[in-house]
Amino acid sequence: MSKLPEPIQNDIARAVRLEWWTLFWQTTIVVVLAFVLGSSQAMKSAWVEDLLGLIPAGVFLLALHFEQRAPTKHFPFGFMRANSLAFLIAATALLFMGGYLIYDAGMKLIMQEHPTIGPTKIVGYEIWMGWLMIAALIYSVIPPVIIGRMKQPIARKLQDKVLYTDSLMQKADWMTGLAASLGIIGVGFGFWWADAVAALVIAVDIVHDGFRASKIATAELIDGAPRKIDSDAMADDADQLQKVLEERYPDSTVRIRETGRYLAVEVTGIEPPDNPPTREELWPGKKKDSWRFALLSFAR
Amino acid sequence: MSVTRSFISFLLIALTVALGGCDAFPQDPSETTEHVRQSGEMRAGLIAGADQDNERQKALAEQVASAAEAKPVFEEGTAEILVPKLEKGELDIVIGAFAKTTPWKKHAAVTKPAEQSTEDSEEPKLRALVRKGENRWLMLVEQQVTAQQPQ
Repeated sequence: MSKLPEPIQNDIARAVRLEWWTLFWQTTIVVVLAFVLGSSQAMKSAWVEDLLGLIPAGVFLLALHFEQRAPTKHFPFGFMRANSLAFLIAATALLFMGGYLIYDAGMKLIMQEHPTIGPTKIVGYEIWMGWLMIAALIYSVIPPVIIGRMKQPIARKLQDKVLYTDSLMQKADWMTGLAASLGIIGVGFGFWWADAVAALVIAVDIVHDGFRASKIATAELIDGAPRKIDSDAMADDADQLQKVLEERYPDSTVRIRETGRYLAVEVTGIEPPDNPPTREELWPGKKKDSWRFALLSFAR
Repeated sequence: MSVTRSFISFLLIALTVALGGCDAFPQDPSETTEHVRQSGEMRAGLIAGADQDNERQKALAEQVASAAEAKPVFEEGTAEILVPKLEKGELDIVIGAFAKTTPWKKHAAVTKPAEQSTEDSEEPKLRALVRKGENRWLMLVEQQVTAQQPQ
């Protein structure tokens, strides 16, 4: 169980590559935006969101490193759940940062602070800084949307909630760029509040991401039933497995929980069978997906 | 979703191109540029003090005002009095020697210095203060202030 299942090794390698690319592009975006931040609240929110975009990618890589470690004496069950713990930490960071940005933008609205966006010199021409900001925002949107789209199908195959949520956040990045751009253009039209409102919208989006991610991570960390990758509903393959086991051992209690990307099953209440079936035998779905069924235990 | 996205992108680009050449963009939330143009008066606060160069202040004010097709109306005082007036919109511009790191930057928009700046960000240099958020006015003022820089 310490080595990653063979069927997914290629996908894992692809995911790792994509996440390293994510870290690279997100870093360039953070640097570019830092140069044009100015006193725009919307830019600040967008910049923070991009900074936070480094976290899921970093979390994924770190957790994967741990997941592959062999179980030790202190951690006999291995580190399959490192994934979810790191995910919860990342979700909490998102929640707090988003909350802070809501407060920040809200204060700017209440205090009626007018954002000052003046001229800047670029290759000898003097232009309104707002245009530079919008250009930077357009750049900040392109890599995440492309990479996010590439990551999503891999996340499904790997049953990796961290990667999946990360891909969702990245795909939705275009909305952040749009909101911030509209905020800046609004300021250009004399609507000083447009900037703070755009910042609020982006901040609420960050909080929403954090909330959704923490719900998903928490459910798994407290031994919740396996959920689908993209919603709260019960996972199909776990449901089927439950039915198969209940049919086979009618007087027992069958409980399934998720541990990382794997399923762990406990069958209790009956005398443990003399020749327990193998996990591959029991798996009701496609054979190539049976790697997900990692633990099976019988107890009185 | 993809059609919506393409449409929005197109709209954004069209907007950018249209507004980029527009003189009236960005606008002033409190219409400072319009008021100055229409009234023909630019209410200028000049910072009084032994370290201030009154002649240069007045010259800069004249230059900015004529760029806005107006005449300057002077009021002298300390920054303590003049900057709050600027914040309330009772003045259009405040001219004096300020450092780049001046604490007044929290209360007003600070332009670049009128002369070529050296590395020292704490040394006061002649520049203008403008009400926060009045971006069209700021564009005009800063253009005039930095035009004084020796080539």
